[in-house]
Amino acid sequence: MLVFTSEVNQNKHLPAGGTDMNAVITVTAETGAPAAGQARPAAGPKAAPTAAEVIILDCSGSMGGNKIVEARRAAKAAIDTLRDGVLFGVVQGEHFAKQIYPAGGGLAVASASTREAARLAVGRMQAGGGTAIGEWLLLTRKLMLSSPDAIHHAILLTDGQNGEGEAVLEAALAQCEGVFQCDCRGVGADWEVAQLRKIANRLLGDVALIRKPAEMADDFRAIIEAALSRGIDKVAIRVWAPRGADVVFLRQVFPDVADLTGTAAEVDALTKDFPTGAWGAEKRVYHLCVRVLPGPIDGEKLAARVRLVVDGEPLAEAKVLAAWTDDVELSTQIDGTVAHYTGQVDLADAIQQGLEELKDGDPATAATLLGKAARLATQAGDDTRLRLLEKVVEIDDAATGQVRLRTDVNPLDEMDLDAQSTKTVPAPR
Amino acid sequence: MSVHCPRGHLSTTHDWCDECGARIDTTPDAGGAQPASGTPRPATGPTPAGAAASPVTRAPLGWVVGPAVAEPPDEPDLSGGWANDNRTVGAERRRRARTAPRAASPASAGGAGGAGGAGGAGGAGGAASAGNPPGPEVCPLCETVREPGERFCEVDGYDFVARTVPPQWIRPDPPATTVPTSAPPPPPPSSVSTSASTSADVSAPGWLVEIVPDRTYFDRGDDGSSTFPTDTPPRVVALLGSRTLIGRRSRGRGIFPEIDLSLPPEDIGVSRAHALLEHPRGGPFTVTDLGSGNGTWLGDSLRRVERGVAVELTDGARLFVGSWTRLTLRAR
Repeated sequence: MLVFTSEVNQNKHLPAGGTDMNAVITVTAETGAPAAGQARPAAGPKAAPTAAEVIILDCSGSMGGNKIVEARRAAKAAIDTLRDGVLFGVVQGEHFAKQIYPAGGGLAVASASTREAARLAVGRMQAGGGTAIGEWLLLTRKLMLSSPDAIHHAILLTDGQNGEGEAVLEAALAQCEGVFQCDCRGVGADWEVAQLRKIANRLLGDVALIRKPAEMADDFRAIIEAALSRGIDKVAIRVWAPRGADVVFLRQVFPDVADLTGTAAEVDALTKDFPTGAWGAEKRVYHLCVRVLPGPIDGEKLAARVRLVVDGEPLAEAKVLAAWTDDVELSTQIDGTVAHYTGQVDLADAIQQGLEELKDGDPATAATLLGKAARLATQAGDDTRLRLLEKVVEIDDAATGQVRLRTDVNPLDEMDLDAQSTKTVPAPR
Repeated sequence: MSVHCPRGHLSTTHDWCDECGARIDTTPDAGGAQPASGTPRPATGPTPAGAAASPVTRAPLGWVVGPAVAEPPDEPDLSGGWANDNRTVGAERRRRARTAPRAASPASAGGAGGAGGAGGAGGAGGAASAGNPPGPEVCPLCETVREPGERFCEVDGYDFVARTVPPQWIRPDPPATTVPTSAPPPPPPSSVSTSASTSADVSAPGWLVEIVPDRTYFDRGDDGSSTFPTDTPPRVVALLGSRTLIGRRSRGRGIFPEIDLSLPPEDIGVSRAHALLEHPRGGPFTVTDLGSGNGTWLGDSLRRVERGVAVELTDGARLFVGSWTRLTLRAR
């Protein structure tokens, strides 16, 4: 049973007339008994829902050779990871989508025999045709909806850019949003990080680069294990703000950066739900910015009430306050945790914009932005992103952001940096 | 079960209102509205009882000092509570005023103005209303009740938070700068009570005070301890009620001045409770220094306002306090 607790970090003091309140909300889900007075256990009158897993493999022509061989191997490894009783299916993606397992539509129930049958079907997959990710997602959606009560998750593997128009993909994403979550993996150097990131963001998944086709199997296994460990689905963050106030943004800032602002569903005039998908035992951190009507000096009010809800039932609550003061020392302080995650988001932006500039040909701007990224990564002690940065730029002085662009950068390193740019580190305690 | 928040909304949450976010206190906050008991006592002691004899008290000017002026009605206090000692100062001054020679006839300007009418409503007196929570906040310009949570008056745009008057209310600078009250010898009472400036003041519906950093004044006293603020637009404060405290807000000492010079750019040369403006309806406008550290200075010649002594001001008078602050009085 998962128990949710939440914690708020903020400086509640605003200057006279100040309106924008920033707060970081850390939500922790742990298995075990609830701590006294902190949160109610996730009530589950019905048994834990089954998981439904769909593996989407890109079988376009470019996947030929070694890649399709490794993709088949990865899919088989993923199938082997499925526990008995888990619902699953495999979709072959070309310029159309084809369900290759189970044959009759719907999803199969994992067992020794169905896993074996699926392995056989996967072994027959051949590369050929184009890339139409929207079609693949729509077929996946249809399969998922055949078992509406399960926790739905998909893995999408591709090696190329989507051949569909933006609008087609957009329409498909709009339909799939809220139906299933999807982690995206790119293999090779021909896919576009921004495109897969967009799909992953909309479908509450993450994106990563698989450098060597041989790494695929391990990665798939890890994704399936993580997905199967999530016991509670359709968790939403419910944000109440007082009349006259606006949610400027709500974004997840740990373990990776994802803007949730646009995904809100209105509950009532003052309350919005932001879907966060399924949860296992994990920690996620959110940065909320609310714009409230300014109050009187020495006045204090509630700027936002943040709850985690499943089926309308609140699991954990956090309160964001706003207090107005004319004490400049109080109002100018920035909470350390808010500052840390603001820096982490800035770091992600600097990397993405820097790489964009690198592509579009302004090396000076690119060096400035990547230098800023190096400085921020050093400050935060963010070794992972610093190491990735070092493959793209030579860091002369991390403290001031002095970097030189490397001349012979492996495009895979650039893509890796891009894909990992949103992976943040937690704030120090 | 729903509860009502302090602003009257029905809230299903019991800690903070689910409509406006105001804190809902289930236990009454006993000491919240009252200033701390440890407030300092500025300037009352040193004031000699015989100050009425000073040439700068208002009595020799021939003002009608009737009961209405001596006990001005206490209008709802918007600042969240006066420092008690300011009341003491006011009370003492009123006592002095009562004992001062009454020069004019009751039928002269002061009695005919708003003072008589206001006196009837002012029965409560200062001490009683000090303990009561403030009533609904009203705009000092148009007397519209402030909408809960709204920063600006919906009628004329008055800023309740910064206590700032919208620009269209501000008249251009009057030509006169300051009229020293004691400079001319006290004229015969009858002539003063009918003088033009007096009747203008009596009929004036209210007062504004414009606050600007004054470079010339700053340069005179510049000892390098503070920096002159640049790019500071004038702030205009509308005076409400009959008394206005000039000072710097101090929560710990329970001082909440209406003219708060701790707002940026803070003038740290201003004392916490610096000076008191008194402007009863129909009565004279006076300033009393409350024993400030750096003094209160009147007019461009910087004549010092003696501690604890009420000095009368007229429209356009300039007061200098702190390191750079110039306060210009405007009738409206």
